[in-house]
Amino acid sequence: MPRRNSGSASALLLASFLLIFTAATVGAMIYKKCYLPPVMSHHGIGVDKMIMYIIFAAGFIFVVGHLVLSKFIVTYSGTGGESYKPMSHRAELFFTFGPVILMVAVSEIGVLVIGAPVWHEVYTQQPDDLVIEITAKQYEWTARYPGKDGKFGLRDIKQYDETENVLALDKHDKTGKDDIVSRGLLVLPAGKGVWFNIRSWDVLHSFNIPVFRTKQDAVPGIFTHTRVVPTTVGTAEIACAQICSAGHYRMKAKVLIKSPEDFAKWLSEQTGQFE
Amino acid sequence: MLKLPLWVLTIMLGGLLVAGCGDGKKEGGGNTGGTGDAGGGGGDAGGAVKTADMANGATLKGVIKFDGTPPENKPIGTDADAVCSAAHPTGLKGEIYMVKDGKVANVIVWVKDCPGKYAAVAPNPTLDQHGCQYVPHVLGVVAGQEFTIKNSDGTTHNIHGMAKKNPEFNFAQTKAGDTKGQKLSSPEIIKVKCDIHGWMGAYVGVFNNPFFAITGEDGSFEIKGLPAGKYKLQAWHEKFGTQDIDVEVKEKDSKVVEFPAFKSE
Amino acid sequence: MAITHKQGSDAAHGHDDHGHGVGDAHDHGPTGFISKYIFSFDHKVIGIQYLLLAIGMSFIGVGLSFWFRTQLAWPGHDVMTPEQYVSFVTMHGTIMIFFVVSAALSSGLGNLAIPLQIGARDMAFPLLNMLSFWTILPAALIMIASFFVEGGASGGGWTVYPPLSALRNTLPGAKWGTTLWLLAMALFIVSFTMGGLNYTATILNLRARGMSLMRMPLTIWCWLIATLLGLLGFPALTAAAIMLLLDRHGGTSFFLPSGLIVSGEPMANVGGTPLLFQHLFWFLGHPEVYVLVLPAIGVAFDVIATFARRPPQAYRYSVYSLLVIALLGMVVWGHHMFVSGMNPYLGKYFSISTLLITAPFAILGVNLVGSLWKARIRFTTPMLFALGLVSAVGTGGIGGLFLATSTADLHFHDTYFVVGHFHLMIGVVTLTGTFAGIYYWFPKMFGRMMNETLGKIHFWTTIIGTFAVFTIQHFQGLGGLTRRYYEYSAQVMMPAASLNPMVTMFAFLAGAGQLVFFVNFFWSALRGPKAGENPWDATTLEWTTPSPPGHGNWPGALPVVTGDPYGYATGPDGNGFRMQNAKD
Repeated sequence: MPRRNSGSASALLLASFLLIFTAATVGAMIYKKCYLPPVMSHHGIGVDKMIMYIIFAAGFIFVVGHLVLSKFIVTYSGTGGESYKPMSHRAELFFTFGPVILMVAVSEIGVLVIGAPVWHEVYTQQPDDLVIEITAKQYEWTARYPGKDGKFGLRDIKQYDETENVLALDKHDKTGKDDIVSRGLLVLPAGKGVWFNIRSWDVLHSFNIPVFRTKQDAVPGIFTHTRVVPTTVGTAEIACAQICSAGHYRMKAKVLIKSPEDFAKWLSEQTGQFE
Repeated sequence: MLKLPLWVLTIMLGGLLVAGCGDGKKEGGGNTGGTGDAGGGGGDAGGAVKTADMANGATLKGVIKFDGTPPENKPIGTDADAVCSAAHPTGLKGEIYMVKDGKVANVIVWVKDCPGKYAAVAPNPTLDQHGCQYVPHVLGVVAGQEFTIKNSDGTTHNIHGMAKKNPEFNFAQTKAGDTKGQKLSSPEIIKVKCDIHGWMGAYVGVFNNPFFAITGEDGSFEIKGLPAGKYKLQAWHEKFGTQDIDVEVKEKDSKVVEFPAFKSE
Repeated sequence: MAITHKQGSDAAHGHDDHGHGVGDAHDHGPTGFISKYIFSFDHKVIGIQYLLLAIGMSFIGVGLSFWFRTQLAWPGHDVMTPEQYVSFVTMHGTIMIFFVVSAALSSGLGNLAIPLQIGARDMAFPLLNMLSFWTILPAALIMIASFFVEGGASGGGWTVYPPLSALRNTLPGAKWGTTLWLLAMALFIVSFTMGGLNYTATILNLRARGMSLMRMPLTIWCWLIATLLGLLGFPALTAAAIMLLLDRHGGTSFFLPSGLIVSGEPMANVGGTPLLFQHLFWFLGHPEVYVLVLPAIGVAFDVIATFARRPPQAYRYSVYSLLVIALLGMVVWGHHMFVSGMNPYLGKYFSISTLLITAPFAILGVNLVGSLWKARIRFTTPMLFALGLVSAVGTGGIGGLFLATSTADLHFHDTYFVVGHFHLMIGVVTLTGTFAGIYYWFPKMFGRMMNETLGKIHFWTTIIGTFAVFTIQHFQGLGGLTRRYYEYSAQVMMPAASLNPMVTMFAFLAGAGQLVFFVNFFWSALRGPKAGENPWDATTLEWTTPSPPGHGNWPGALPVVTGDPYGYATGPDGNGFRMQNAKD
């Protein structure tokens, strides 16, 4: 065959490329500490554990796979060498069910042992959680705290006013009188569980706070939920993660995580929607 | 077998498109503010555009007043955008109720039933976005007159004109210095807002003639060049609603007109 | 219709009638230019028409991506407006998935190779085949036309989630752009269904005598399974599209709940839910991934066998894996909706079921790599692309592990991790598969060989460019970079966003490589060296007929299959090969 001589050069080139690609990927991950942003919530630590588990398990498969592929490309280039004999049936079974068992074990154990408890934590309301309602609209986030009475007032969409009453709270409902409406600013107490009721006025949005590893779509017509326990005092941002038209990239809000005392002070300084 | 439903589907979809064309111009519900139906009284009848006779036309003056305690403007949280917060270190308040000593600013006073179309006399105005607020809060133009929309902030604003009779407009200005000319051809009062900074609201009144005025901080207004005749005059405020009065003027008249004062609900 | 060949008259094993054949001679094809090249019934011409359509559309699809990649890399230079950005992202996705990848791989190469590989004179329904192409063409034209209507093209993302797509005042492009998008998709689905029925009927009924199911090349298996998945999935999208059109223009509320306030104005809709659309969309959307990816993997199996000079590893288990992938692929759509507001227990189920798919995919991966064991590899351009595909399928599959795990998806959902992952799978895997197929079957299209030097330049620019782009996008996703953003300002995303210029430059490199391909494709079609019947020493049936095959595919009688599709490594020194129809 005329291709006999070009074989080994191409083989070396391709194998080197695959090895460099593998090494660069692994190297970048190690050097940049897997690129993960800082984490500021309790379940976020669990999410990161889940991610790290997959990085190690999948990374192992990725590296081994590429090593074997490169090795085969170099060893079996050209026309010489061992001649092919079909694999024995036993070996074929081994190389078929080996990967099956490996993959199922690695992935399902990961998701059940590490992932499931975190998933459960994010979607289970605890009795003493602070409840905050989040309302999204193109392109704003508004938080509502229940006020002193601990109850959210009713809504009446006829009373909606872009500037004055963006949550369309019903001014005739007494429970809503002390509701605190915070536009573009979400203030949270560190160390305390917060249960979010999330909704949207218009299109889909997504309540995304990367440092919390929190993401939950805001869907018009229903409440969606997520739970966060902020771990440290600091600032963060809500950045909408579900395309909601041209202003999607500007749909942000500030998140302030205060100590429980500062949070209580902040809350007491706010006035209710109709006070 | 399967071919038939597919062709039926195609025809259905085609039919829907045709049906869809029909409601293309259907409009949504009412606005939150007291939008006036500017340009009533047969002003749309077409015909040549007239020029207002500023020398011989009548002048109308007056002050728009408010009785009682006006509602307070609410403080606005600008935390979502650092640029806006920086522009207002001591906090920002709404601009809806601009009442000082019982005198109301940002009221449009206009002649409801002046027939025909008149050319603009004032230079083309600018709607500036400055410090995450609209300057001015209320703007008036003559139909077909271009006005400039300008962004003076180092942040993105989207300009969403909730027009009913004109085509709705909605576009973004991503940085300081962006400008865009906008022309509106049908008379109406349009709410303009920024969907990114929801507190930002302005009104653009589009009229068939230049016989309108917007009250200043002292509540005063002045309409000039009005041809002789009997008219219905309207004062419009985004929250307080409207007040109508009748007025009759002769050539070169200069009249002070008195609107009933706006009141709390 | 006349049955013209004795050996083909066995109904069970592929009768020989190609729909409009009369008489024994095989020079009875159409002679006029229009009937031969424009409104052709010939599967080979239709396949090339699809490929040309895909090449044409790729200029638009890739051009859009370069445009918005420039905006992402160097924001603040008025490259485009935010309205254009969302609409270009949407149209890039739509055009690339449905009018480039699907058109080139499923429709183009499928049309070309299926009858040749199974030993049929043409598709089962040649007229339907022609109509299929002449339906996707107007679909493509409507898609392009939507750029020029008031408000511009649809901008709600290629997933067209309502309410954004259902309400006509939520988006500048939602006025008419989305309606045209839906109409074009409806036509596309009609076209795909015509093609899909044809594939299924052809593969099941027109196989050469002696070609049992387990003697079919793996490519054919992949096309068959992909087609069945598409046929099962597309009706759901059709239903969703009709309901969405009704919501937009008929005043219904399938996807619109009560209590909507849009741009400050309360809407009158009552009773619908946007989640219903997501379920319907992904019921197609996920199988669609396999519709795109499986044929590429199939091509890789065939190409690797030919140039590794040995049969693919564990053919039988690859087939079983494909069947399992198809079954599981229909019940995992919810992994696109972990954070959509769906019941969290459902999310858990979808996570577990999705991770099961890694098992059959692992078998395919092992078999692809294993097919090189004790091989005698020839590094031709198609082989290089097939090997690149193996690496991409592995890397992409591993990214899938992260996204299939619902807990990890809390971080990755709607970030560039997703973008990088699906571009690796339905971008790089499909395109390397398509390119491998085009270089491999080029002799059967034009009777000529493509230039190997240009082919290798094309391979290296493509592979370096795309691997860099999409691997870095995985990193950006780990950094929390949200997708579909016109520009970035959130503090936490800035480190990831700073990688954008690098990504864009690698994208340009990959794009430049495609120009080499276009030159090679058209130059070789006209001026390339003439190819013989079997230039690659391959064994499947398409290599038993002249290049290019005439009308009716085989000049004489149809081949009769006597053995397995991959008769490589025969003879005393292991360098021989046996054609699938060899009489020995």
